[in-house]
Amino acid sequence: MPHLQELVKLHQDSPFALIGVNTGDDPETYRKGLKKHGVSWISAYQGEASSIADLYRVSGYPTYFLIDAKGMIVATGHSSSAMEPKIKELLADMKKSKD
Amino acid sequence: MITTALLLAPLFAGAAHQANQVTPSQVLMESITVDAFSDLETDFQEAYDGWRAELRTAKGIKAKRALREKHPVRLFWDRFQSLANDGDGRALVWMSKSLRNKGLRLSEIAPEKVRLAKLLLKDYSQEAWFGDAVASFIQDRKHLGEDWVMTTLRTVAKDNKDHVIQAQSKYELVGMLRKVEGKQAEEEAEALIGELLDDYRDTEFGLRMLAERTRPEDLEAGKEAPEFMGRTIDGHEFKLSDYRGKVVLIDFYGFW
Repeated sequence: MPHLQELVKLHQDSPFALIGVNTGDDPETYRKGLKKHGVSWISAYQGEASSIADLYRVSGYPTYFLIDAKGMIVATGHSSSAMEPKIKELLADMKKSKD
Repeated sequence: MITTALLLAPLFAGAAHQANQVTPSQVLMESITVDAFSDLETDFQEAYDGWRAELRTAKGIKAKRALREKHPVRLFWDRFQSLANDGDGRALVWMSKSLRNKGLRLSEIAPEKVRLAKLLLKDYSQEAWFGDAVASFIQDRKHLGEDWVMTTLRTVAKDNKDHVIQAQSKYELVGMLRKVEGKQAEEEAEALIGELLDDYRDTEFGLRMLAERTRPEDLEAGKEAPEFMGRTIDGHEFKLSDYRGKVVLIDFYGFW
């Protein structure tokens, strides 16, 4: 989680969004968790349901999907730090094509 | 497939329940006319729970065998039968589920289930509770024959006036078609999913349909990320496509 906060802060002025999809927490644990971990980004709450996770065939937590500006999947994995260079690369590419 | 169907069951049950919602004056009427089937079902459930508790504490094989001979299904059978005779089809669904506990031999169960299913379809297919019958057909598909069940689901999907029962039939049909080899079955399933998505795209049910359609290879790098609608705990709704034009990292997580 601390890493995710850094990630959001680092890219706050770039066209980047972090979307959380929570599965399996009861409302109380969830609300406490949001506060404790400083989740400032949007987060879908599913409670006992897991339909979004099922849609993405998530089998372990956490799981990350990196998606480009066109909505295409770029990478998947279980480590946020492994996603970081790829995010930078995508944002750099976007900037380049704009310039 | 069965697990997904079970997960969906509450959705259908809930919707059917809503459709059945009654006004206060109807409740008043109800308390006078009483629903004989619900009452009987409650009585049966009570008897069954008591019997189960007795079975758990019974000592020795003999005592257990004796108890099995006194299964509540046998005690209640005639009362459900008489409700069925009076034209309450829900009793037929109960009977079909209870054949085994009534003590029928395995070879006798299938023909009786077929008889009851045909009766249900013929006389009760437009009843508000017919979704329960559809669910029992799915459960009994080995007894009833996959072909008969699929033909029945197609009919119900087309002709039932209740759109929830229609959707349920389509959904179950998709599940069965998935196990049939061949291009024709695949195309029929795709068409049904398309119809369901048109009606339920932004619901939990629609998401499940999308999940059904999505294959592992659809989630690899280079493929379009499946659209979904999320809801924050405060009720704010958003879609993945709202973030088109941005680099997005989706984090599937739990605090547990």
